[in-house]
Amino acid sequence: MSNEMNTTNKSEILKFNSLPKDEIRQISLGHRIWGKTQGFIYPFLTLFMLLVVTETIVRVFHIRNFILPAPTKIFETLFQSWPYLWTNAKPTLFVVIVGFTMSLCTAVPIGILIASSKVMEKFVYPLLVTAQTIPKIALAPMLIIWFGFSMTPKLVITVLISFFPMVINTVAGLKGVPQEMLDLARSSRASKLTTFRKIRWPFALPSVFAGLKIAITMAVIGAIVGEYIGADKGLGFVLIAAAGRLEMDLVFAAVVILVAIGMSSFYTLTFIERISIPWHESIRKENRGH
Amino acid sequence: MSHTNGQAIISISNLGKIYETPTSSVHAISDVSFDVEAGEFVSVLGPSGCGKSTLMMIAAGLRTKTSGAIQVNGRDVDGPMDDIGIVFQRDVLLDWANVIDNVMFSIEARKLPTKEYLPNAKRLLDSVGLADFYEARPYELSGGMRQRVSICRALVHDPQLLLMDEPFGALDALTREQMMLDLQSVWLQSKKTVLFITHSIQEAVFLSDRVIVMSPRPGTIDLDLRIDLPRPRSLHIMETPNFNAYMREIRETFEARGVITHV
Ligand SMILES: Nc1ncnc2c1ncn2[C@@H]1O[C@H](COP(=O)(O)OP(=O)(O)O)[C@@H](O)[C@H]1O
Ligand SMILES: [Mg+2]
Repeated sequence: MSNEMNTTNKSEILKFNSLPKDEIRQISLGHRIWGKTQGFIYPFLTLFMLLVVTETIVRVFHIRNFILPAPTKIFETLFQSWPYLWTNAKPTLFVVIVGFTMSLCTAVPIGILIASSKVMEKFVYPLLVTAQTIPKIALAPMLIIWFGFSMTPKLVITVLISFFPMVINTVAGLKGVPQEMLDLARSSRASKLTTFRKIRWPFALPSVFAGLKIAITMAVIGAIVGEYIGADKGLGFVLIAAAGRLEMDLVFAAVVILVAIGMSSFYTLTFIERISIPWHESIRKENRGH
Repeated sequence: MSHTNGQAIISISNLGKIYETPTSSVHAISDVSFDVEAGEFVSVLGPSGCGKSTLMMIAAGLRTKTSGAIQVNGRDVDGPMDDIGIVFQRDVLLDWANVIDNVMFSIEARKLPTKEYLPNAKRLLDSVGLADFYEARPYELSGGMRQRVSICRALVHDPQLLLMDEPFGALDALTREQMMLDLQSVWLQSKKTVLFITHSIQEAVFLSDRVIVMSPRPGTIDLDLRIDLPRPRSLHIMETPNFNAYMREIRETFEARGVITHV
């Protein structure tokens, strides 16, 4: 092996290379913290303002609780009815998490299968794309007939509704690998497995994560819809029951919890995404703090 | 593997390629014949779109030919081969891997022993001024540094033949001159056979033992010019009459073909 170069004419590169890399990193860390703080404070300020305005309107015009409850009343109910709400949040949370996980565990492998097999791509993928347009919610009554009032129909709706964004984004990510990268793999005699592990999968990950983030919000919708149709517990059940009794403060309190479930699951995924694909444009941009 | 001088590493005869697409067929190259001998540095020079990349990709076994014959190391090309290193037109670095892992991809993919080749990867990176950047991610590097990494990746398994597709095409003029010097010194020390694709007359004359000039599409060979200039060449050789005579000859070939026209 004699690949060494002589070291003449290197002064220019060396000068260029000795840029203080650590310094650059530190600056970007500072930016990152600032960026995050900024990101959190501003929307909360807006939200706070909106709540103050609503509170004022409700009090000044004596708007009645069953039309629009005051924010303070909603938070009061949230604390007072917390045991009841939390008991009902648990089954919803269960359906969201289990449904999403089941969907993930089938959607991603199927996406990988479709992207790696011409036969699957020709025979199955078009059907899946078409099936995506079925309004899954319309199937809910039928699912009740098939599976009764158990947890099953809720899970099925959740799985169905979050399945398609994941499959389609997985396939799109894997199919989007640039020809040059595949040429690189082929010219290096890389096996299919190595090509997948080192090139196709990492390349597809940003797209897969985009799919997961759509899917998790869909999963929350799926769980609620499932509970709307027929349930004796869960936040969807609370929403229907409380609205029937015109207890709008309870309705809003349930919505607050739903928002919390939606946001925490979404940001959990965002967090996993950040540590999984720190190299991706979107993450790097965020870290630079705009 | 050792080759005596005078032995053809690449042997191309009457090579042709037609791309068939659903809407059209593009005659990319036509009737190309030439040999590249062991240890030779040969440039293929031609205007954009004349089929240079196509030619290189066929030589690399990554595209199929339509007609003619091509042999590498005495065997018909029917797919990617060991013992070849490729530098692509774009650097094709993997954003999710650091510099050293990008270079070592060549080794892992070929299932060569990682431990044995790691020192080689480091030595190569050191030799192109990237000693402090083993752990850096590609997006932290400048264009020139990225292309250096991709050259290291092409060399790390110590191939006999190096194929390079306009590796300096995207670089600024200064970086490009530095890269030309670096490449020359790698080549002088390793005595690898190099097929170098470029659209720069200056780059071709400076680096090559032979320059093969291609016509516009469908690309055929218009000129096969031996460059007899002493090595190692410094950048100042570009100011010499001999260098300029070669440049002029190539330019006149382009003019005769209407690639360059004067108003
Ligand atoms: N995969 C392809 N399918 C169809 N046409 C192609 C393909 N690759 C290249 N071509 C066409 O072949 C011609 C030569 O391309 P290329 O070899 O890339 O030229 P160069 O590298 O000299 O710029 C161009 O006209 C280009 O459009
Ligand atoms: Mg090209």
